[in-house]
Amino acid sequence: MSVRDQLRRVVAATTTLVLLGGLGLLAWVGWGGGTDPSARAMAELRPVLGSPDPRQPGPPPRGKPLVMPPGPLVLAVNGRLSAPANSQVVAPVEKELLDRHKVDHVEAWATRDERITRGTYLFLTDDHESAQRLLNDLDGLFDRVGFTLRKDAPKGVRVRQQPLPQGKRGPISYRAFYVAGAAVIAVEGYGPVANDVTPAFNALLEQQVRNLPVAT
Amino acid sequence: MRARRHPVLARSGLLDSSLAPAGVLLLRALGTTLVVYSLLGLWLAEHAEPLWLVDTAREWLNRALGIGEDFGGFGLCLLLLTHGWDEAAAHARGECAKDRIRRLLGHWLPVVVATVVAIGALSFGADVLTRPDTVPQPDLLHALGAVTLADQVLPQAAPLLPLAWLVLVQIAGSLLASASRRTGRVVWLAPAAQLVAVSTVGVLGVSPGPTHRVAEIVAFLPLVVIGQVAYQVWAREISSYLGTSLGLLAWVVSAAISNTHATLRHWWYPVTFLFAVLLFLVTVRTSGRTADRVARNSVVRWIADRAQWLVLLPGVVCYPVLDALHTRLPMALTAVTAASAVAIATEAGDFVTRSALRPRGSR
Repeated sequence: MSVRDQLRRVVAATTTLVLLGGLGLLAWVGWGGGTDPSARAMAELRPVLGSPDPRQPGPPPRGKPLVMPPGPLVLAVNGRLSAPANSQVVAPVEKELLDRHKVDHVEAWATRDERITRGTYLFLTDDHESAQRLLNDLDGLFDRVGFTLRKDAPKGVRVRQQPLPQGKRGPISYRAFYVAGAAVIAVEGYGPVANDVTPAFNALLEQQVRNLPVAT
Repeated sequence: MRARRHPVLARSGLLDSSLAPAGVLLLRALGTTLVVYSLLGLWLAEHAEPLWLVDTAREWLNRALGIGEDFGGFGLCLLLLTHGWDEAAAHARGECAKDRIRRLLGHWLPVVVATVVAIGALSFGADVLTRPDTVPQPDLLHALGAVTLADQVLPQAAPLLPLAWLVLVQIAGSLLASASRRTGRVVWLAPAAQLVAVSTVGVLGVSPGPTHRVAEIVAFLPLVVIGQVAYQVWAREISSYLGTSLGLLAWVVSAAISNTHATLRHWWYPVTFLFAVLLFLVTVRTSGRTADRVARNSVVRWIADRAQWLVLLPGVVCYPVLDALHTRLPMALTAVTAASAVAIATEAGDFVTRSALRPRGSR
């Protein structure tokens, strides 16, 4: 092989590599590296969730922060709040609040039967301090519409209830909030008969706090 | 069909690497290195210590390829494949029973030495790699269990040397290979019979019971069979079609067993098996002048010849060193010191047992 041929081969190989590498580089400049924007905040939540063995193959398994309430499922969301499909996750007034706190990643389970509607929610913020602020605002929202603070709540959890005039036989609504890492966790339960709702809500809240402990 | 030359019978010890073709020797050295590396990774994971090299390799190689345990399982697979190859090669050159016993003794003696070191270290309160993490003060029963390898399979026992199951698989593989050769002159019947035996244990071990733990270990035995089949194809004893079929069957058997065990399932061993077998086959097929040159390197030969030591000793030598030094030195320096300690311990162990393994009449 002459020197010229050899040179031609080297040039061809180099050009191919540059073209291939260049395409990748262009794609990276254009569309980014594909990092999940919520990854950073999720990483902050991860120590709370209990870190998995880093030696495991495959992507790091993510713990399940939320407990799925028993009963027929009516809502299952894990993604962006801004996605059109997820618009029904929260009420408009809450949505406005979450937007103000720049919350975009949301996870939720909700189930409903004739006795009770139960839900668990996760709102991911940027850091622990933001989560504290969001907790205060969300809690304040229910305070303003007449939900009273329950004294016998688990430590670090704010539980509010709205008893309606009929007493133990009438409808009731519960909301509980707490902070875990960079996330605010909400647990809700409501139904037409307080006697049915209260034990079911208490059980769900207890289970949720055990699954993902309060980290204030 | 032209029969290929068989590897030359080594003049001296049976652990001598001149027995194996260069590619196989390279893989043994690679497998050993990866096991040592993974034991370092395990220590780092248990102590939540970051080390750039290991963390980056996990993110870019281990998770991307689906090979867990910092390539430790992968390294052990390579060692089992090369063991199968050696087994078939030894049979092909007509190894006598005495030599076979000596060869297997060479695999087992490091277990004895490592047990003694482990018990010594534990009695001084040092942190030794054990499963589960806290082993009560070891007594004679522990020592007996570890030396006889019984603690690897007994349902209630806590293995003193967690990696000694490798030796169990090697010895079981060799014995099974010897027994299966009684199938007569049809060469492919021997590996097939071994796979039948492995599958039987696998089926018996599906439900919880005394065989459950045995089956967990036996899941790795098909790799020894694949090593033998690879040799048989290489030596033109069987056709490559038959070899491929047997190899695939062996993979299916091991994948099926590892899928029926909750403790194995989340490590994705079938993926690791596949990568190990592919690397093994490509290396054997393409082993040429470059492999010869690398294999002549004294460091590579040293690692390959002392594979058993380097698998068993880090848990009992590295761990105490890492524990003692990691708060005082930078992590990278601590790791290097621990590796050096293992190298010294390996050389010492090899020196002590070498005379017992040397065939009579040779220097």
